Amino acid sequence: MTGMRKNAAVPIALLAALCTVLAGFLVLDRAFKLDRQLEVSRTRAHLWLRPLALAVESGAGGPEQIAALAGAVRRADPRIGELQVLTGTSFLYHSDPLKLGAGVDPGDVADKSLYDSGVEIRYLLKSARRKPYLLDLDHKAGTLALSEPALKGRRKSMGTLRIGYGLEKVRGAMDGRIWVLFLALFLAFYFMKGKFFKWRWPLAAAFLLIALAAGSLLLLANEGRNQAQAGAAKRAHLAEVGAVLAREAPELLPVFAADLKGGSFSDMLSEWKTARFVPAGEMEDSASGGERVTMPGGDAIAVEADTAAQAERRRQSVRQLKVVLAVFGLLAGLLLFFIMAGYALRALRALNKHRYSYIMVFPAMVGMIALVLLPFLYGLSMAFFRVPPSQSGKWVFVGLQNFVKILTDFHPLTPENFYFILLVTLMWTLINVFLHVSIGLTLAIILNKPGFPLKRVYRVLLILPWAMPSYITALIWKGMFHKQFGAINAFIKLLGFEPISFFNNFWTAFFANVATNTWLGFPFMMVICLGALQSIPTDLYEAAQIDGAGKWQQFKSITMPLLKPALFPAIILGTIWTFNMFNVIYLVSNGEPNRSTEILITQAYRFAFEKFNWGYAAAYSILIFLILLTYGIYTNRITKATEGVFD
Amino acid sequence: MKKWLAVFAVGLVLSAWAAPCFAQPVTIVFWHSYRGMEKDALEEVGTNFSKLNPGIKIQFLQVPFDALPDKITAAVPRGKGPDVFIFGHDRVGYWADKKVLEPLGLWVKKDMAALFIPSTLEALTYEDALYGLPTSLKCTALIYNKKLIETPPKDTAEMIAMAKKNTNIGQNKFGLVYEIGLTYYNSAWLFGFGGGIFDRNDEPIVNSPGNVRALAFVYDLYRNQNIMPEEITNTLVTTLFNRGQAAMIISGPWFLGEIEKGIDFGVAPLPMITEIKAKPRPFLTVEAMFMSSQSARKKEAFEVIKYFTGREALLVMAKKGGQPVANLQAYDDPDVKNHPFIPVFKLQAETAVAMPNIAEMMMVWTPFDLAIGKILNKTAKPKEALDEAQGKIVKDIETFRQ
Repeated sequence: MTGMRKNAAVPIALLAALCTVLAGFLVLDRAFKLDRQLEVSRTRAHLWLRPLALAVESGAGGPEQIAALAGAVRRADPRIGELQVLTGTSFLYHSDPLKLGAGVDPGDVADKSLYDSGVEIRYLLKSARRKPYLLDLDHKAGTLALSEPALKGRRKSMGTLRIGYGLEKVRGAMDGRIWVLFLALFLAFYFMKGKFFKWRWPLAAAFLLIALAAGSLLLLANEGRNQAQAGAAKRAHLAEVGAVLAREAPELLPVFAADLKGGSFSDMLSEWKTARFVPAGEMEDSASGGERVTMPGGDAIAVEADTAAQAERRRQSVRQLKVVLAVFGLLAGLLLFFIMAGYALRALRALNKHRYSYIMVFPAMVGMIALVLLPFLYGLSMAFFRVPPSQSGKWVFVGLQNFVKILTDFHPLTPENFYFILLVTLMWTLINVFLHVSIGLTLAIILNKPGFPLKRVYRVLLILPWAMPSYITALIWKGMFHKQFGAINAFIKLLGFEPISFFNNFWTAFFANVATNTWLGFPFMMVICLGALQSIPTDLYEAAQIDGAGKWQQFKSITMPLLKPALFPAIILGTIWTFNMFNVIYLVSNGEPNRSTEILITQAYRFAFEKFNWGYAAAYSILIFLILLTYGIYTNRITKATEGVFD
Repeated sequence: MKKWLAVFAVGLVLSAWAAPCFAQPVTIVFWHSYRGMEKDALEEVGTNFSKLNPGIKIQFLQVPFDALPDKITAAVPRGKGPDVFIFGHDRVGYWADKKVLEPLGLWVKKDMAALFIPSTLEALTYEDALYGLPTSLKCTALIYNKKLIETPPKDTAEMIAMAKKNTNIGQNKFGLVYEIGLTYYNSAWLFGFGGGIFDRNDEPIVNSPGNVRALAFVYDLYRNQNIMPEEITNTLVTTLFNRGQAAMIISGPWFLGEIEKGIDFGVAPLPMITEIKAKPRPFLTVEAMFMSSQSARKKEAFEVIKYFTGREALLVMAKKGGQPVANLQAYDDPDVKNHPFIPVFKLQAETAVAMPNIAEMMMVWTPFDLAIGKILNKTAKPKEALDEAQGKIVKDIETFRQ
């Protein structure tokens, strides 16, 4: 029975793995095709727009000629949806005849959007690092909209042009060969499994590898063909644009040819390295390996392919392929293993057996994933990137650079140094927790004494610091440490000493923080201890007394061991809270003097919200998390804090 | 019972069906962080607007001042948030970069722009585009207790002399109190001495000689003249002034609301700097009306902005809200012209320097404040402290711009 199940699991496992790989290839193939199609459409739109921009730039012929040229362009290509030329706040040309020559109407959404594009393009031009055009893609509607400036010099915009252009449909998903290949692989495996059952692991792995390799080769071959086609399509389009120009505005042809190399638009025209206008009759030696695009009048444009750009594009395809291979290959391998080793079946059975339990915890799991896991993963991933603060720009992957920067900054013990802050944080945590526990425990023992007068009143009073919002407490304490008006300095003066400026010196500022946090922290420990003390049966003490044990011996041998199960988790929790006690540090010393009393968490805050260095701050937080995680695991193992007392 | 329910249900259906027959007014959501008098004045302007424009309904929402910028930054890109809002101009660069603000250049014609103090429009311009229309001016001036100071000082030497006369440290009485540890409150001296924050190309010049001289002057005020308390916070300034224990303070219009009824106060321009015979030049913050780039009712939103920055509205904001308004037309009005402090702030605003609206300004505050702290605590000389701050700021801005 089990043997048969195992037999059935083997082909299912390979089928699942092959399907995963196939899905990866199909996704990538489609991405490649979309890229090439977009590249061609973008270049076509751009090449239609350039002569118009050049006409606006030169100003020759006046607005009528520009409008006439724009009209000719629009008629020449049915894929052009809209075409607008805007200078200042009025249209030189508008594909909507009602708008021709009219000003921009602020209430008209379409008008306004071109005007806004103009504003944005001027902004892009000013910040020289960014490309001065806007490209809006609408895959659903199958259109792209390209807005470009007419330039004066390199950085001044004279007007804005926009073209709406229809995208071609991307047909089919890969040629049939890959489907046949994968089906053949699966069938071959299926019929082999009976005889070669003990070889099933290496066989399955080999089949998977063959599928990955063969699929990659097929895909790259397809992509090479796509790229060659794209190049040809661009050259054909150049001839098309040239023909319209030769007819409508031949004087623009030389400028147009000279402009082809790109300048600000180099990434749009990566196809050509050189472009030159060749007047009719002049012979061009073809030794340079370039191509000629001839116009109806006999004039031509000689272009030379940019081989470096082509090679770069191929490399990029290979890079994309590698990512897909890694991700989907790994996924396929895991699936193969998971199903073939029988884990899948076991998981299904477990799910089925405890299905009510899983249904019950499902909402909580969704909540945890959405509220805890996802933000955590977001922060985690942010730590490996340089996240641009000012723009809605792209994250740049920097690997471990943020961590390395933090950990290798050995700048001698300045307050900006990670190790210095870590030291301060550790000292802060240690001193605080020690004070919380010792004060809390002492008070609990006193309050637990039977017959202690006014016990209830004291209990309430001692819990008050904990019950007050910590912000208010912290601000009150800060006020008490003021040099001239604070209560503490008033007391010091009363004793005949000079008042102290608490926040001018590291130790006094640190003391102020610790005092505040001790006030805030001991009631929690006291409550925990009090609860635990009350649960200790009194007959233990009676028995000890009969046996002649002294007070100290009773404390050591009865109280302490029985407090342990309640106290240790509280200490671990208290440590973590204190380690990340943002409020007190931020509100009391606020890092003064000169950022020396910061702890790690406040420093992370400053990197994020004062310097807007998100990646760095995220890396900081991850380090804090790792420190606390190590601490948590380690102490838990030593103290067995999470184990029950009677285990 | 059932019968009544049926009638009720039919009534509901009928009213739902009938509702679209009446023209629905367009609702413009308006965020601000005004309180007290300013809030009342703003709401009165809203009522006036509704009378004139029955088709537009304004829905005010008061958001606390510290929370407003973050809420805007978070909400607008997600298509939520207000249609229009009021805030200071100092975030314009950041918000423009984040595509939060709608550029207004297209709507604002030349004749409309001429109504405002020119420096206020400059403050609202970023990379050649205008992003808001100014409502009021905020800058620091000298606020004094009339019981203690009869005529405000003309220059800093006189100010120090007057302050000394009014200082008695044993009785907790001080001649001059302001938040001396903060860059913002020292800006008048920084720019007055010819220093600055950014040069024309937006590069930081924090350690310029003018700033060094200004901070030497500030150190002298704090440490040598014995006219100021220690560790001055916002609360301390308010408390001392309200108890009559501070003769003069440096603060802005926002402080006036905090002054208690019994205190007879006056407002005067900051005194001339005696050493170099120059006028102090505080930071100018322009409060302005902005439009969200995600507003679905931009035409109506601009109607609101136009009205709220116009003469009628600003007269109410000046008279009722006590705001030093930015529209020059409002100063024709005799009540505004003879107002005890509005013209003073306007006068001060004329020498003030618009706070940089580029996002890089956010990198400046903390290191600069720290440098001032070091100087005042005698841990560094002005030049050293500012050199160090300059280094930090340059480094932070470099990271920021990457």
